[in-house]
Amino acid sequence: MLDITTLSLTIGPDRQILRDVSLSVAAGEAVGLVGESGSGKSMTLRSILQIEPTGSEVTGSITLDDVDVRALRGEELRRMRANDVSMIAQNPHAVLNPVLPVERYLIEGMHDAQGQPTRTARLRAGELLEQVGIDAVDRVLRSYPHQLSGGMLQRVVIAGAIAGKPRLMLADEPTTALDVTTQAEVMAILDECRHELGMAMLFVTHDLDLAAAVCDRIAVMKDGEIVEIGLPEQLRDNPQHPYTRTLMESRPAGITWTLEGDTTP
Amino acid sequence: MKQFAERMGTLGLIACGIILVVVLGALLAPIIAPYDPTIGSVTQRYQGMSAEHWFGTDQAGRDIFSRLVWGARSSLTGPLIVVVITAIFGTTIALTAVWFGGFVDSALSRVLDLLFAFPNLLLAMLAIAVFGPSLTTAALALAVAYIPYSARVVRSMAMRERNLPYIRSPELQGIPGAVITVRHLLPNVAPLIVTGATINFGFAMIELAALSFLGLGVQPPEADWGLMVSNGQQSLLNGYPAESVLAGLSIVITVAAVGYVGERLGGRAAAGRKA
Repeated sequence: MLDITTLSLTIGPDRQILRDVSLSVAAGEAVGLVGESGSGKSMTLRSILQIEPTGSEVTGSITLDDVDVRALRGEELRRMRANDVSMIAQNPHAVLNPVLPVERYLIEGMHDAQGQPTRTARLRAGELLEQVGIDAVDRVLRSYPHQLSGGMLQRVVIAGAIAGKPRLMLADEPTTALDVTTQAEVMAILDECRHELGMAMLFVTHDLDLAAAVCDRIAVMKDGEIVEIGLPEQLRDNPQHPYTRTLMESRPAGITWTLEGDTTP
Repeated sequence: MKQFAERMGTLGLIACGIILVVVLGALLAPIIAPYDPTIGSVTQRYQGMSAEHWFGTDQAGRDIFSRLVWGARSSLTGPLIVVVITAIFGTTIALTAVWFGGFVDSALSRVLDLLFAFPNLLLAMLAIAVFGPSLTTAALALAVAYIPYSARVVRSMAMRERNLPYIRSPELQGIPGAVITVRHLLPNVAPLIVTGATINFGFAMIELAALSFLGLGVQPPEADWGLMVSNGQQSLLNGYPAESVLAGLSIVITVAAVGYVGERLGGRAAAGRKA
């Protein structure tokens, strides 16, 4: 469904951020992009939505169901962002306008972006919050972002992201800013929503174990290149690239991710 | 109210009081002013201060106090027209430039640069030469001259906000640019627009007074502070300084008061942003 072919990104004359990145994500598939800071994993994600830094030069192609998303402009680009691809960023507090209640954020996404009537959007907002495991729906809807915890707010962002039933979800370290227990909960919710809606996901993280727990395939990135792509088990049991081996060895021993809402020692 | 008082400080409250007095004077001129500001009697000319004529009379025998009170009207409405038009157009241009960026931004910025190149008064005089002298012409012309100032300030702040996540992320949600600009960007630059308007108000008042002084703004026999300063020149030479001095003082005090309140509001806006 999503095909990234020989994507390269350069900023200025000599800073090459991405080098011939090729990657595909099938419908309903979850692919992890793992690598250290500066390896270009976020930049790959941003190129899909055309939000790479100004002044960067991008070559290669990105297609979504055979539509060249890099060529979209204006209204077409807006529609793609509204209906086909949603993104979850690292810090939910930065995403929501601090002076508007949460409800407005959700309604705005559904009404102004996707064109649903306001009344429908209002009803849907509550349903969506229930879907992401929020009990006190009415209270949360009326709350302002600063009144909610990071984990709670990230659920709201996920609710907003699945509102339009997009085909592809881009998750850029969605749990990095959260504490460990909340991380597991939010991850579980994200995974559940993804399966329910049959969305594909491109999941950026530096945490190989986390990626292994939720992704069907994992791509390891280093210095702007994909050094290895494989099934999680393959990477774990038989890493081919020396860098993957280093990553496997450097993770904390004995911790494995499960998605039942906790980490088991 | 208490917060407002704290933020204004003693001097700020005095300034607010002055503005209030001037505004009330302008609104209630027909009630307050004891005489018709445009009709005088030659037998009454050049009178000193007295119970009948508090500030005396001018060369045409018109009551100076009445003229000051009536003069507040044109002296306030002129700058008001200027700042309202300036704020609306300046903000619209700035936000359009910021939202689209790139070519649109460059093009609009060059047009503003071009406007900058003209001295305000010269631009106003040009317009007056074409359309004939009147307060409306003078105010509209000054408004055009002020638009680049307002647009530049709003643009620079909006540019900073443009790249913050709360503006970027609705864009990624696919929310139309116009909606984001009006609902998210505009409220966050609004304090700056208000502050800018109060500061422009002072400048506009002085420059409109200058135009009236030159005979290009408010036309005699209407009462206007700038016009009164100019009118009083003759009396000044004859040893009756009251008209010019009082009208001049009215301008200076009002401009200072508005400027001070504007500055306080600006400080408030800046403090509000930090919090």
